[in-house]
Amino acid sequence: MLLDVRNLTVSLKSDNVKVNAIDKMSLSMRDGTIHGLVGESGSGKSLFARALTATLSDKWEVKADRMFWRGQDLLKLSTEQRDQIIHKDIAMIFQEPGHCLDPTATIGEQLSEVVPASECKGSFWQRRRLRIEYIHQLLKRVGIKRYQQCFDSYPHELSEGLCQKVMIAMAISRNPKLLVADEPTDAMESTTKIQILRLLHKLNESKDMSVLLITHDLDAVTQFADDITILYSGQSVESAATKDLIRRPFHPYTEVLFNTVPRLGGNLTPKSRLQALPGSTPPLQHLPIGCRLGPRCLRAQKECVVTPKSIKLKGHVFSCHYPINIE
Amino acid sequence: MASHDIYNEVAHPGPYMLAWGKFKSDHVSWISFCIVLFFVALAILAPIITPYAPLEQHSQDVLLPPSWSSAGDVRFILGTDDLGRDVFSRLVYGCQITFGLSLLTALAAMLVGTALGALAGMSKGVRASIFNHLLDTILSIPSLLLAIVIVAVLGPGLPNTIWAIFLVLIPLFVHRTRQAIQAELKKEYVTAARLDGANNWQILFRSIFPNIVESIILQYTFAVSAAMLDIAALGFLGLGAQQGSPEWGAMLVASIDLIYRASWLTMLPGITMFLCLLSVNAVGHGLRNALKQRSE
Amino acid sequence: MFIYLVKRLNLLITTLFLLSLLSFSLGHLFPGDPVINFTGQQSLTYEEYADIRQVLALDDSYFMQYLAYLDRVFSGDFGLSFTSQSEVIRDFVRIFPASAELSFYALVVTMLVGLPLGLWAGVKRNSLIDKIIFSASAIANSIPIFWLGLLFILVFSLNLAWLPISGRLNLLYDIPYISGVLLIDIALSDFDNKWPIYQDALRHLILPTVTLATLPTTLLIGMMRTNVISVMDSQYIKAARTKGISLYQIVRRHVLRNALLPIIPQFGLLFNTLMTSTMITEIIFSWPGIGHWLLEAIYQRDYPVIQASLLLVSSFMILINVLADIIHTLVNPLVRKELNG
Repeated sequence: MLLDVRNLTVSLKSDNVKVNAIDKMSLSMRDGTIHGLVGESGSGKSLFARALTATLSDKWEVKADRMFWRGQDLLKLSTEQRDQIIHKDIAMIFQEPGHCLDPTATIGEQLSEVVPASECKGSFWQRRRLRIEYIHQLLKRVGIKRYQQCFDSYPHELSEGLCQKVMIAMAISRNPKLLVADEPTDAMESTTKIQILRLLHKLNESKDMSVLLITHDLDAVTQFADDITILYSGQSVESAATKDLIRRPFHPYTEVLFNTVPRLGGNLTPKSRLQALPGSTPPLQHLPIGCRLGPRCLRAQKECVVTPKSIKLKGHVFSCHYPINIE
Repeated sequence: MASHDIYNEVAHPGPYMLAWGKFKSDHVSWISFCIVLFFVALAILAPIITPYAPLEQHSQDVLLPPSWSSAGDVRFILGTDDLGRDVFSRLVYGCQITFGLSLLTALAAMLVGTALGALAGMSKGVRASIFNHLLDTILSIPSLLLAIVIVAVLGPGLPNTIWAIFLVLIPLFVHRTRQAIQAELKKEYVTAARLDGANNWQILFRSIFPNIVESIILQYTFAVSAAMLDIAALGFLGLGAQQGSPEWGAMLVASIDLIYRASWLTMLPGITMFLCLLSVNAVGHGLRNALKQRSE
Repeated sequence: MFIYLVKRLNLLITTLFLLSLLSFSLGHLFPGDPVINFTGQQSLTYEEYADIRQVLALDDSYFMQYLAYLDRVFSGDFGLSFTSQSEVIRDFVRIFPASAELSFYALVVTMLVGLPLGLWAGVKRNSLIDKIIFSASAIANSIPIFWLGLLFILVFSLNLAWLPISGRLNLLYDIPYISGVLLIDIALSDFDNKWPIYQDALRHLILPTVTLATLPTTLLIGMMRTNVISVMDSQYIKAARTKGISLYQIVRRHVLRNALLPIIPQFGLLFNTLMTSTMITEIIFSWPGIGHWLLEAIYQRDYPVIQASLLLVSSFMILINVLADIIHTLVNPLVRKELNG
């Protein structure tokens, strides 16, 4: 196991109330896979990534039964040790890559500050050259052909896609074990989007780097991810290998979620309504108790006011009192 | 929140109320606001509060220190100056001149400046460009220097000072209003209103104005503090209020000769003015914070 | 880029044009005879008067008069001072270094104190040190400068008797006027023992410099703090932190540059504040500079001096403003981006 998070709770302490933005969420990730984390906006996906990399502000409180990173509990370590591990092994890329680069420094300058010293051993005068060579290689590896030009550019002179590639280059410069991609293709053109996702896929295969792909794009995630975890309102709903999840979802929400994507060639009658759950996602101030899907769920019954325990069945984890597709 | 509130109704206050609530919840701004109100009350009620007229001379009681020192006299709470005038009365009347007049001057400048700024903001082309250049010129000269020049032309004296400061403050408001309007004009909701067939006039009054009122009020607080500083500075330089007038700056400059013998004559007007400026500035700052917090 | 420079220069020229127009009209606006107001020559014979009227083109249209005025301005002829009866431009050149010297030291103090404190407060946002720095600067910002000056005199000169009240130098030392900048003049003078003279000059400098620097410093702290906070909140700083760069490195490499760049165009505002404060400071400490000169001229109704000093001082300020803008464009890649479309 690369990452094993059990019952993670992230809460926001405001004036007098405490809101659990993420409520007892679990996620486990195998080495060398692409793991998709799917959910609607506001379901706490990005929050999870921030909690994992310990970049949340003081207003947030993080608790978990365990948060194992390659057999070490991150929450039990001191801040320095934890930061050290995170900085060494975990890298992160964000949405809107253009905003994640310092606008007043060239790409080359910004890349050279993240290049680890171990990559350019040599005498004092060789280091600079080695460093630049290493950066050129990085840029080539993420598929930027005109790397010299890119090297001397300011971020605003590059397209969003290129910026994201630069971000990826920065992320892989330290050979991380895990790349957390927080909606990396949000608001991008579809061709650029596919380029980026393919790049992530390729890096995953060739460098044995796991990727945690956080997105709300179901198409992308089913195409590229090996495993998927689905979040609803901060609760983990269902988690399984992609194939299993599509073929046989156990949680009603999963089924609805996949049905919201209209398929070509399906038996979709013209002008029929798209499938969706009634109602809308609850705001943070008004979270229902128990299973947070409760008020919107078609199968909800009395027990649903109690938070369901997660049940593991043939490598398929779900939390529901009344699962579907089970004999 | 009360537990019997089943539906958990949340009242959403309007934007003005929200800003006001934020403003009130910040103690420093709230206290400063109360102090400002106190000064306003002083300015209005000056003839009622003060025991003596500002120019009334008590030749028996010259240069009395404030009443808490051993040589002081309770009849003159804050002491007297070299002509036996009651410092407390003078300070209160000075509040009327320095603070009250700045409030009014800034208000007048705000009205004129905002109107001109709206005109400038809505116009385009050569006229706007000429206007902008003119504005840039005036804004690039520091207000005090400009006021000094205007006073030099008009001649020294308090009325001329007020005119000068009025003229100096106008460009500030024009600039702020014009900038705010042009920023709003770029926004989508204005385009939407335009597509609905609203004319310039309607867009200005119905769409844009409610959105920039706050930033103009904010500018007003800065203008008041600038006006106070300038009135007092001109009084201090002997170009504004006449010698002997209870204007704070003039009181300060009159105290220089006596600074060694009667330091309270320097300290008291200075502290009063400092307190007044500080609270006006703090109100402005609190207002800006409240507006910023609201938009977050 | 070129177009931008042309635009800026255009603005500069228009502004200077308007200023000269204002200055020209002052000659007519001031009470008294324009001939005397423009030239400053008070005891003229009838022939001389007619000659000058001819030179000033006072019988022609205002336009021709303005051209004649411009012609004189460019040749550096601002007339004579009423009081000293010497050429105004000479007086200006003689007095200007004293003001420039004082402003320069105050500017240095402002930078040395304001930038680090603003940076510190911004980086440690909402901490105790931030609150201390911020409240102190807010309080200092509200102290009227003329009162501050008096306060300093009261405490340090009268009560403690540490520092002199006014002037640039003890009258015992008679430093010949060479460059006008006192510290340089002392170095150039041929006194044997220069150290006590330097000491005396510095002691005279402390109070005016601190008084003058207070207001711009508080402004600079505020600007710097706001900029640093907005930079620290930006996405790229957050991204940089996940990359495992230490806080010190982030501040040094990213925050400092991004926070300093927007200060450059605001430098004009800072400079304006400084100039205004200089005038008042010079009055309080009897510093023989431009502010002192201008106010003396106003008291004496010395119109040629008022006219000239207004034109020269404000042109100087506008020059600084435009210069700050151009420098900002040259060094900030973000502005260049907007210009290039």
